[in-house]
Amino acid sequence: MARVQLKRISKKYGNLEVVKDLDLMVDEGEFVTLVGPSGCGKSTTLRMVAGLEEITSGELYIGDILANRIPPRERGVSMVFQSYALFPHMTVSENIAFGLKIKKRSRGEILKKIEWAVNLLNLEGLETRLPKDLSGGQRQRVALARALVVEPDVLLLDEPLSNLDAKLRLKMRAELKRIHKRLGATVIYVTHDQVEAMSLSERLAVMYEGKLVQVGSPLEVYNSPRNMFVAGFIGSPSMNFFNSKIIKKDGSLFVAFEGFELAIPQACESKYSGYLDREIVFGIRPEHVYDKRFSKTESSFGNTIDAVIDVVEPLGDRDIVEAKGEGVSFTLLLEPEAKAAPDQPISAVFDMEKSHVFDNRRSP
Amino acid sequence: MTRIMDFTRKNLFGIIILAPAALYLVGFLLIILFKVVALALTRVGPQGDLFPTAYHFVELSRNPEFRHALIRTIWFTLIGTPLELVIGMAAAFLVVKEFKGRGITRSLFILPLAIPAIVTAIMLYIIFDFPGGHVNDILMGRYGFFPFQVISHPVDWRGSGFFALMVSIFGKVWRDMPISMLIILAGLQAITKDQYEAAKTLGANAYQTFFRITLPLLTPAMSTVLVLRSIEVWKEFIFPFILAGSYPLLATLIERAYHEWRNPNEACAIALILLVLIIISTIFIFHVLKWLRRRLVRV
Amino acid sequence: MAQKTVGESMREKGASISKISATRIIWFAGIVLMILIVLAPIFVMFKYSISDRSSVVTGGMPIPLWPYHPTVEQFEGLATMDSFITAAFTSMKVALLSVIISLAIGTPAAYALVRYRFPGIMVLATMLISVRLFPDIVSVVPIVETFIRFQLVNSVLGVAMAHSLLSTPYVIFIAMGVFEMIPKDLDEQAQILGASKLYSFTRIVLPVALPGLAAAAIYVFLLSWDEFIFAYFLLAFGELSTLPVLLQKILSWTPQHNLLAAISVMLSIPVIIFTFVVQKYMQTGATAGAVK
Repeated sequence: MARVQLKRISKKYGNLEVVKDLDLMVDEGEFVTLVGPSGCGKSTTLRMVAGLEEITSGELYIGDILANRIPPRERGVSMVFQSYALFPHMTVSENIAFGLKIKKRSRGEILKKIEWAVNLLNLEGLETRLPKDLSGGQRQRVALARALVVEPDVLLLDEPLSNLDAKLRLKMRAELKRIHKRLGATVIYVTHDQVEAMSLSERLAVMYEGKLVQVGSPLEVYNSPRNMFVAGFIGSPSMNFFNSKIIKKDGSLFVAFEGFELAIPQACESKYSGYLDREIVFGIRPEHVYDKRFSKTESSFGNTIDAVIDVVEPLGDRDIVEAKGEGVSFTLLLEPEAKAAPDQPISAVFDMEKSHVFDNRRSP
Repeated sequence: MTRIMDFTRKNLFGIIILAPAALYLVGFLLIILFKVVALALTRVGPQGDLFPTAYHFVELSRNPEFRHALIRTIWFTLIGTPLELVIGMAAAFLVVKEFKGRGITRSLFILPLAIPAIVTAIMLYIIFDFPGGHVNDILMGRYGFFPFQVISHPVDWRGSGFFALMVSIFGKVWRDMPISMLIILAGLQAITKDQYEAAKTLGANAYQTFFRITLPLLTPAMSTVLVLRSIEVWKEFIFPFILAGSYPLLATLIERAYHEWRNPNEACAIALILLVLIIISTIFIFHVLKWLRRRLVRV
Repeated sequence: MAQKTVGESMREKGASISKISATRIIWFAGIVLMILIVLAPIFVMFKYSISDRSSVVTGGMPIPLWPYHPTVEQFEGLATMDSFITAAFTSMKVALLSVIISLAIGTPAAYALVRYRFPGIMVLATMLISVRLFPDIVSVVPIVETFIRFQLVNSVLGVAMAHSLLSTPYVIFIAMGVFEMIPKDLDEQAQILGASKLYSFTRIVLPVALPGLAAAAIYVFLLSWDEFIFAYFLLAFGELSTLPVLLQKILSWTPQHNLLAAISVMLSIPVIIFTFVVQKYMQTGATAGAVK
């Protein structure tokens, strides 16, 4: 296993800079995910680590050796592609054995390794099948087996689950976690699905428009997003954002909207004091807005909005509710017991301690 | 009976407009087949015609000209067919990757197909002239840009069977190269970029990638080229006619039999033999390739 | 770590990716070589067509790569050369007639094959198109012998009929493609409104199919314009010649390189132009035409 370090990595196509000045360190055995919307440069970054794209500027270290000019096959990395890229004319065993045959391993060793990989990924019985006779999930596991059997120092995965249906995706997520635990491999994972990123990684690297916006554990990124993009990208359903202003009234701080104000409790004043008299964006996650009847926080005049329910999306274990009140709309989550229905009145309690404040710009 | 009448009534229009083409094409095909067999098996004599008789086939087998033509044709096909494949593959590999000017280059490579075969043949006649001609001049080092003297006397390109047929093969391969190239190109483009990249990250160098991935996946396209092109080379007429007139192949022998010997029956006999050879050869090649493909994939 | 991983030992070797690799040089050389070979005969054709006599008959000196005194005298000569003008007209007549015949019988046939779904229709379509698999040189003698009986030798009609035999399968193939793109709704709509099948075919469907059929017409024209084997056998001993036959006649009597080149240029130019125009339509046709 090796650690990977990206130092000020940039990728340019002509005048278009696709990856800008990226700094990232992946420790040995760590599972790091590059996550972000389409076009943010995450796949390009991964491909630069693999050696499939040239690094325009910056340094890449794999295991402390400068790897910029080393061709892919000598970097000790292995990659699983979004399309799996299985060789259509080879059976499952032959696909898995490919990397070993290239390295001229002995027949005995190859057979042993194939058996190991087949067991690890539950591919028993499929060894002689061709890719065209496999299901999507099976193909994906073969692609994974093929990449693992060469014992790479770094395993790279480019959106490997996005072609699978939702249920299979969940199952494979658990599989991947299990395999990572067992092998202790260094993994760099790329996905646009933030739920996947949150559930799989030890650390997330959130990217936007070619730049690395925030790196941290899932909890860190969730609880302390560095800017509006990360806050809105991580978490489903997305955080509520309101344009507002911080004002001082009677010695206390308030978040001022068009028609009303939310009181900022003393405990959180430090978070807001720096923004006094400024236009800001106030953010609060739907899971931190409660129905007064079930609220975790005491409802008071300063933190409650009377609203009317607009749309209800029942998910079974909870309802996603869109409500309108005091001139703003927002999303909150309700227990099914609340029996939410459109046009019902609701008193929404805002958990101010879990709120966020952002500068009035979207990009980092 | 009524079913047929019903059917006819319902589809009358379709049948009427289909009939002329069907009759024309199928009709002529039948006429050709019957006529060729009939003529080949008929011996024209002063006392009337003898039918059926294998006379002409026997005569041909004794005729050294025929035997030479047969052998030449076999060599021609044996060398020309693989050459068409190799050149087509070379051209396809040259233009498969993206590069600046790829579109123009590809269009240029299609150019040989646009030139009428007779024109190409005559141009080659001129280029491979004797004793002058560009090729002789180049090989004797008479140009500034190529000062190496490869030969000291000009080659008579039409004067020996070997050279004449070599030039004919060159002409035929030159003209047909675009078709082989297009078929191979289609096969190459079916191999996705991902698969090459996966091979790269798994450690394969260019040589290994070519033999373990590209070639096996290309075998269907290669087989198509070999089978189709072999048929084409067997029946090639124009290039040997213009460039190797003194060294006939079976196809050009047909012309000689018809025009010089004034013997349509013998001409048809040769034609029939050629037809049978083409059929046998095609079936043979098809099966050999199928067998080869099965052995090759287990790499 | 006690033991180096595979990756580590590989990376330490530190091979490098360089832009100017041996492969790229070979590739570039290959492209240049191919382009030269492809262009050589064409270049020769143009060069000789504007060569003056001294650049052709050099009396032992090497043939110049570019004529000493480039001239259009050959082309001027063609304008007054009777045999050339007649041959050109003959070629034109034959080609146009071929277009008429093959389109006239091929287009309706294609329409029927596409619109009517009775069992075996696909087999019939395949049969008609595979007629082309039959070798030209094998069919020539029986056809000529048959045509002699009907006095079709040495005639424009005879050659046109032979050429139509060669081109109708292509017309059917192309027209089938064109008609498949036209939704069946169109004729059904016409028929509901009272049009007869003939009317809907000629007045509704055909006009829509015209662009695609125009491509087929060009293809047939070029096929006939270039064709040598049948034209030669059918016209060999008569007065008539098409341009390809004329070329061969000149070659066998008095091969004058620059004259031959000039006629070749005249023969080739329409083909080159149209091939690139038609190439767009012919993407699928190119591989189907693999066996002429």
